[in-house]
Amino acid sequence: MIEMIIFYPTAAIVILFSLMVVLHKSPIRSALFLLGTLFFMAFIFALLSAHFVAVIQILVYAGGIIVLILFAIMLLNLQKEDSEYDHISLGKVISLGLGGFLFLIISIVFFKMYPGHSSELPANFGTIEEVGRLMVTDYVFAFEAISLLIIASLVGGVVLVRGLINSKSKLKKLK
Amino acid sequence: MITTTHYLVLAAIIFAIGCFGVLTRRNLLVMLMSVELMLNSANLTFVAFAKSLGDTSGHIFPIFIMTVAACEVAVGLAIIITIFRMSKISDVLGLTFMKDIKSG
Amino acid sequence: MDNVIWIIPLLPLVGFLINGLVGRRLPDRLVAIIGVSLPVASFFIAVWSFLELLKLGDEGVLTSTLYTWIVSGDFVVNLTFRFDQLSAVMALVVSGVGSAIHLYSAGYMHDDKSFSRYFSYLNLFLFSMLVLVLAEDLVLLFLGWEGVGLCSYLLIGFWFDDMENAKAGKKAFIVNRIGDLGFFVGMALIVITIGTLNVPEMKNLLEANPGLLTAGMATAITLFLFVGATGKSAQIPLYIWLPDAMAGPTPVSALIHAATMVTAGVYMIARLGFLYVLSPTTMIIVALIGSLTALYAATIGMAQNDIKKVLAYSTISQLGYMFMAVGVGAFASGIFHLMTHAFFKALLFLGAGSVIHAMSGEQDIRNMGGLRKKMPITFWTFLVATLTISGIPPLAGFFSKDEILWKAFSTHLGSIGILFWAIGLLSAVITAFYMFRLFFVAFTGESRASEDVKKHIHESPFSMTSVLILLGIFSVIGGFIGVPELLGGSNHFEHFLAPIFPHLGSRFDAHSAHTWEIILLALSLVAAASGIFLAYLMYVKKTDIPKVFVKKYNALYQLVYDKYRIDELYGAIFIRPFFVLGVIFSSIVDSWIIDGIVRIVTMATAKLGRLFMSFQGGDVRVYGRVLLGGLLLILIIVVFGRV
Repeated sequence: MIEMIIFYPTAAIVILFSLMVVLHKSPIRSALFLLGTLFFMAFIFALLSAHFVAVIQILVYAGGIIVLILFAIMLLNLQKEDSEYDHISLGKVISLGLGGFLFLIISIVFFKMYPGHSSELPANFGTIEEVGRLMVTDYVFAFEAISLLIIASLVGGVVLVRGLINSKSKLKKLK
Repeated sequence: MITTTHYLVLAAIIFAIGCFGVLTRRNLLVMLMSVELMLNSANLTFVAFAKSLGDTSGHIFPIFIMTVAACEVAVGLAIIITIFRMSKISDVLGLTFMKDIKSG
Repeated sequence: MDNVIWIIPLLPLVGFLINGLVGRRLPDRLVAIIGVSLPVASFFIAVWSFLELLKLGDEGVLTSTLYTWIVSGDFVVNLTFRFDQLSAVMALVVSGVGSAIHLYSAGYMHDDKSFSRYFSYLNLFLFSMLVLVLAEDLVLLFLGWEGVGLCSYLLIGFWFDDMENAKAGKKAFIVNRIGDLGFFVGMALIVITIGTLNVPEMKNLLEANPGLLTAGMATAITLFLFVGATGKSAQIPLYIWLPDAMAGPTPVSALIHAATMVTAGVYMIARLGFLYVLSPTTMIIVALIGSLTALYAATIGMAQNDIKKVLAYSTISQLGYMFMAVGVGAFASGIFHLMTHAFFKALLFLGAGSVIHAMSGEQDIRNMGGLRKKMPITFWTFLVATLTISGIPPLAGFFSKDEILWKAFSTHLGSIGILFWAIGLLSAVITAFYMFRLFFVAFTGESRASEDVKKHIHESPFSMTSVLILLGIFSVIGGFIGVPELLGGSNHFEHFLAPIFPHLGSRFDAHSAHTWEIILLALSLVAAASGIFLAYLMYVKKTDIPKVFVKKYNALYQLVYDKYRIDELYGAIFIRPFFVLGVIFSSIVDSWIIDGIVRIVTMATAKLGRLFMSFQGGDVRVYGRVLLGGLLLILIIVVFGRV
């Protein structure tokens, strides 16, 4: 019962906020609504007894990614897209249709494979200890691969921006 | 009674919304945010199934996905900033220089 | 490949490749040395092969198979060169006269801007001609046949800057193609009936099984082949290209359009003599066409003023004699005349070339005259050649021409031979007349050239005059290899060629033949002498006779002068309808039907492209939508496919 009381409002907020992310003209607002969406998504994770995931969600997304995006928006000084919602284009209708259809199909799949609720959960389900144990035992290879990916993206980000500076100076030299 | 299906349908709704955003928005950053939404909906299904099956392995994947998302955002933002600095464009309609040299 | 005869055609080919590929960058002197020395070397190999052949005796033959060209079931074409008595004569004449003319050309063409191109064509011609005469197989012969046609085209249009020359080349090529079609049909019929195109094999098969060819089929085959021969050898009705072919350089006229290529038809008929004798109808047609051509061309020759045109018509006329000879079954006499004609006609053309060279390109004999003092060597050699063609003993032309007339008279075909003989004799009178007309007008009397030209008249360089002298010697002595038994000779030539040709009897017995031969001989002499006398009378003694004659019979003169307006007739009958057809096709079929189809196809393509272009607008979102649409389709199949 408590689950229901928490779930429905949270789900409604998540859906509303994610709609705002997609539909709002201003990128800054979009980013802030995304922050909200992710925050309330963490609630739902918590409802599903995934406490660690919920915490990570807030830490990584809200604390890291959204800040990064906001920083980028401010750096680029993006304005509102005025023309974007002035008219309803064919592309939007098609996209809406495709999105709705996608939803339908996914829903059908989910209903068909209804898994049911397990009556009792193991004692250590979703604890930090259990998650940490799995990560360094069963999934240690994926864990290492991910760490490699982080380094690669770090290097990639640096190279991209550095390469830009270099090519700019080269352009100047050429001119 | 809230069943797993409720969570899964919620995930499907958010996934479809993210998808719609990617397909309609012109701003690269907003498209990136929409992708984040889709990734999150995937996380939600993982977590919901983990609960339903009573298996903590379902929690490992969201963590990995978040890491990947972080990397993606870092590199994606770097690319967007690079493009923006080069051509003052953050709009995908302007990014057609793969099609022909003249407009790029 | 156990002998060297395959080298005979190979050498000019090498010359062609060198001069054709890198000749532009070589100095002219080197080009000339390559272009002349290789044919000469080829000639010496031909001589050597000839001596080898003599050692082998009557039935001897040298063959050299390079490789198998075509294999299709039972039908096999080998690339085989065959050096028998007939090929030997032809190869010697072709490479010998060819070498002489190459040498002459080195002097004649020395300041032409396309010197190397000229020599490469000339070498290619020699190669093709040698392939033609040495081919054992009709397919290979056809290769050479087409090759010489191509070279003829290239060399007639050698100075293609002038549209007239290019047109003349085109005309020769097209008229030859008409003939070649006949040749091709003939070959196809042979394949169908006999099954092989290898000449000796054909002969063996026919000897073993005479029922292989019905009389009608033999006539059809030989007539089709004869159509090819009329095209190549400029006989009625396909002779019209030869006078125009004089647009090419004069040595080319001498080599290709007088001495060698145009005789290919005669050679072909002689080579296939065993086929021709199977069809008396064809034989009579060949002889008739030949004799009519001889007379017809000779009459046109009387009224021409261009020195090369006169010689061209004389060539057609002489070729007519050769066809008359092969038509009445006197193959050896035809080849004999072919050989002597190659000498004296080459000499005439080269002499004319020498004159034209000296007269700064002037070709009209009315503007010549008085060349005797200025150009003595040319004068004397030209005189020798003119006497030879007129049939004055003991020069070469006398023996060969007289033999043809005798063979025509005594032919096994019956008394129709008398008709051939009469036409031939009349032609002989006219030939003597117009040749001496040419000679008197061009070389004797007062010079009628303009003062500018007169100053430049000079004897040609040694490289040219030496060739004239050489050919002059051959024109004088060339006939002695075929002196008939009547005059105390033993006719080596005919005996030498005897193994090749079928033997046809005469309609006279030995005794009466003897009497008749003497009578005909005397008549021939009278004919030649009367022709010469007439020319002397009209163009040296009383020079006003021709003018009076022209005035009195103006219409007739104009008709002959315009070559009986045959060109115009062909133009109206064949060419105009073709043009009309061409216009119809170009304006209706091409621009509406063909272009319409093309336009519809391009328009559909463009429309389709424009349609697909909208998917390729460069907008990432559109790609994303399409991607998602595809994904959904797959999902639908996966999800509902399970149901």
